[in-house]
Order: sequence, then C-alpha cells, then structure tokens
Amino acid sequence: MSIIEIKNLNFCYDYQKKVISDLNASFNNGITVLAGPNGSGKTTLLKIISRIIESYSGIVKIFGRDIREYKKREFAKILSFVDLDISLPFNFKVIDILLMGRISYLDFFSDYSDDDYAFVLNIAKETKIEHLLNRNFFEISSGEKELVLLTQSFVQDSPILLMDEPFIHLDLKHKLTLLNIFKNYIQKKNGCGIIVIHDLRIAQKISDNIAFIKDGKIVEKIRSSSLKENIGLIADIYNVEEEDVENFLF
Amino acid sequence: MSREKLGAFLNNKNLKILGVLIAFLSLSYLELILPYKCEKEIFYELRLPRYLGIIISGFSISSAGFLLQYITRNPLADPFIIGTSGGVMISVILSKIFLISSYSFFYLFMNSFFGVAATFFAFKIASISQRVISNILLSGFAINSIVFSIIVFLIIFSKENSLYFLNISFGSFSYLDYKIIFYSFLFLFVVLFFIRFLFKYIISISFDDEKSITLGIDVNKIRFLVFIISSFLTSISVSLSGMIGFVGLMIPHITRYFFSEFSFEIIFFLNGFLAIIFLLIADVFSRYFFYPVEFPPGIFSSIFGSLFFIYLVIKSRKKSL
Repeated sequence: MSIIEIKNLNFCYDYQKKVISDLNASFNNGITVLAGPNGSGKTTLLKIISRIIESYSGIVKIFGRDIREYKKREFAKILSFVDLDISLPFNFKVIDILLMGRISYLDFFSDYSDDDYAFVLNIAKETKIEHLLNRNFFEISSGEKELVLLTQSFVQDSPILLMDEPFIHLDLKHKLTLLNIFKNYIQKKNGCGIIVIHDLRIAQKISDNIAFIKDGKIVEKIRSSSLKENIGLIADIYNVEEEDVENFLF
Repeated sequence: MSREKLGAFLNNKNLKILGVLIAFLSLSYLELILPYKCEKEIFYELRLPRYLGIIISGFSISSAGFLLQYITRNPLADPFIIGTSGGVMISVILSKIFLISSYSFFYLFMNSFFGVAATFFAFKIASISQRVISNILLSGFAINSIVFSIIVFLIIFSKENSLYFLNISFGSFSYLDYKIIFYSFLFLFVVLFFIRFLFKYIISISFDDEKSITLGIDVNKIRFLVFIISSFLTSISVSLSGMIGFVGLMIPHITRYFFSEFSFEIIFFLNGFLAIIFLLIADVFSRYFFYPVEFPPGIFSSIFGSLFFIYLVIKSRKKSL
C-alpha cells in the first residue's frame, strides 16, 4: 500500500486559473523528486499535502487515512515540511530553532525536557552543526542556515519529509553529506521523502523516482535510473530541444 | 533552563552593565532604603506606591510590546497600535465622568474588559480579509485615533478634569495607592503564570507561520490568545499610569540589541527589568528637572528613549535590531 494517496485534487488561488487540476498520484517508500517548469504547481502540491493549504477539493490520504481527520499534533508527528524560503523578523538562537521541532511532542503545560535537549544534540552531531548551536541565526552563512532548517525537520522525527528546493546554498561537501544523511534517514524510518528539485542531475543521484508535473497534473512518473532513456519526455515537458537536455544532463 | 544556558547567562558582559545600572539607581533611590531621609508618612503614602506602580506598570507595558512584536512578526507593533490602549482610555474617561474610584478592583476590571474588547474588535475587523496581521495594526490604529480625538475634546470641554486627562494621556505615576497596586499585581501574576506556557508557541509562530502549522500548532488560536494576554498587560499598565509613550515599542528593541545571545525566556524578563530601570530614571527627571513643577514622566521617557533609539539605529547599521 502506498503511503500517500491523492485523488481528484483540485485547487486554485482566489478565482484564478487552476493551479492543481484533477491530480491523481500515489507516493511509496523511498525518495521521490517532483520536477517540472516554474509555476506548474509543485510547491502548492507540497503545501496541500502538509495541510498548510486547506481550501482544496479532493482527497489526500496518508497511511490510508484522510489528512483532514488527523489532529494537528498527531499529524506533525508523521509529516514535516521544510521550506527554506523564510524571512525572520527577529534574531533567534540556533538551539531554539532546533528545539522547535520537538514542539508536537509537548502538551500545552509542559516545557522542553533534558531528553529533548539530548535528542537535538544527537541529531546536530549527525548533521555536523554542533558548533552552531549557541550562535545567532542572523550571523551564520546561508548554507549553514539551510543545514539548520533541515536539521530542524530531522528533529521532528517524522516518517514523511517534504522539502521545497533544498541544497541551493550548499557547497559540494555539505551537499554530499546532507544527501547521505537524508537518504539514511528515509531508509531508517522506512519513510517517504518528496522533494522539489530543479536540478535533474542532483535529482537523479538522490531519488528513487522522479515525478514530472506540468499545468497542475502529474504527467509522468519514471525511475530515476531511467532518466537517460526519457530525454524526449523531459524536452517535451520543459519545452526545450533534446540536444540541450542531453548536453546539460550528461 | 539547562546548565549551559545558565552559564552563558552569568558570564555575559552586558549583564554586568545592567548590574551597574541597577546599583546606580539604588543609589539615587536611597530614600527607599533610608526612610528617614524624607518624612516617613510621605515615603509610605507617596513614594513607595509610586515605585511599586512604576515596577508593575513598566514590566506590563514592555512585556505587552515584546509579545506583540513577536506574535505579529512586526518590529513596529506596539500596545498602543492594536487598539487596546484606546479601549482602556475610553474606560478611564468613563470612570472619571461617572465618578468610579480609580483605586477599586472594579476600575481595573472594567479597564481590562474595555481593553480586551477593543483588541477583540480590531481583531474581528482584521479577520474579514486574509491578511489579519497587517490589518489589525491598521484597525487598531483607527480605534486609537478616535479615542484621542475624544480625549482632546474632553480636555477642552471638561475644564476641571483637563489636567487629569492630559497627564494620563502622557503617562503619570501620581494617581496611585496600595489597593490598586495590589490588585494589578494579582492581575500581572496570573497573566505571567499563563505566558510561561505560551513561550514555545510564540517562538515558533514568530519564526514562521507555515512552519508552525506543520509543527502542529493552531496558529490562529495561539495568536488570538497572545493578543488577549497582551491586552490584559496593557490594561494593567494604562490603569496604573496612563499611556506611557515609547516603552512598549522601543524597550524590546533595545533589549534585543544588548542581549541577543540569550534565549527567549531570559530576554523576555530582561526586557521587563530594562523598562523598569528606564522608567525609574525618567521618573527622577520628571520630578526634579523643573523642580518644583512636576511633569508627566511619559514626556521624558519619550524624549530620552527616542534619542537613545536613534543613536542605536545609527550605531547598528550592520547589526540588525
């Protein structure tokens, strides 16, 4: 049985043209990359699955249960969403940001325990950002910020992880470490990762499947290893020449 | 608080500066420790309630500003801008006109009711459209303008109360006694007890709205709760001392500038203490600068505070406030 199932999904922002139209999809264990031209509805789809957008029509099921039926805190324990496009009005300590990931494990009257600190410290060691814990978020580099935000969602400890365009600011070394950590995490949890990535070279390295999305519909889903055989499809989706795709990818 | 956090807290340089400031202040307030310097009766009937009033009022108003800035994710948010203080001022004026004692529990209760109602009203107007946060600042601002027009109107027409209205609209600590201080202390205590549990949610919401939703937080509910709590805080402060300018907006910025390396809870309390110290200084000036004429300390706090703030803005072009 697939982990995420989507049926007849429709959504539009404020009476404009449909961003998601009649989308059907299912996502299994492992890592799936969502790719497609700008404005094709990738981020919107992630936001619907993670319940940030609620005014959609259709059914989204996770573990066989409609996501509208989950309690908010319960839902946070099975799914986390990493959006790297955030702007902070005020400064925060990195440790405070990481601890936020544990918030769904607390009830209203309790505070972060020593176990929570230990948990965060452990994961910070794994992602190698231990030395940043006591720094201020405004004072670290954009690559480090990205690492912190990804670590935050690892702290959330959920089997499903959605990411919107990660790895943009990372150098090669950090990219590789993080890809590995991410892969291991999904494998260990036997979970499901959905990532929006534009760079198909990275997509090919990290994922098991690639789903192409265009005009609010999932057009095609292929194995990542078979990317080479699908150059015609890619050229068609992005509206470019086949040669260009080949030059770019290989 | 974990052990490392406490260690970082005690080793801080700026904290020592704070200590020196406190020491300096206790020197200028020797009359508190040595009551024989002024007449005993004057001390117990005039001075002590005044100091206690400054402590409670300063802590409340700056905390309200602090919470509002974080929860609206807006550095310009201020207790006087979301309509609360406007509501409380209406209640203060009404109780003056209908001769309700400003030392009674009912007075404090009525003020809080009006304050919360005004915030609720501004929030409801704002919720009509999707952009609640920017709208609540606008609708609160509108409510405040209406109230200020009424105050000016009353100053002109009700001559016998005009000095009172003028003082209270700039902030003054001259209208205090032990009863109202005791009641407002009780209010503040209850509110602080509640805030403790909200800290973790406030951090998360001010971090990012959407992230908070995926962390399982009911953002609108928590935000509404914080609005209500901060309007209680504002009501306490305005009931005691009227509208003290500057403190709710600027003190949180100044605290964040000096103590940015601390965690949220500690900054929250430091913010309150800084406001108290600042108001105590403003109070000394307002009493002795043009002796024997006494000015509303709100005027001094606005002038000094704004100048100091401008200095910080110039100095911190790189470091964000």
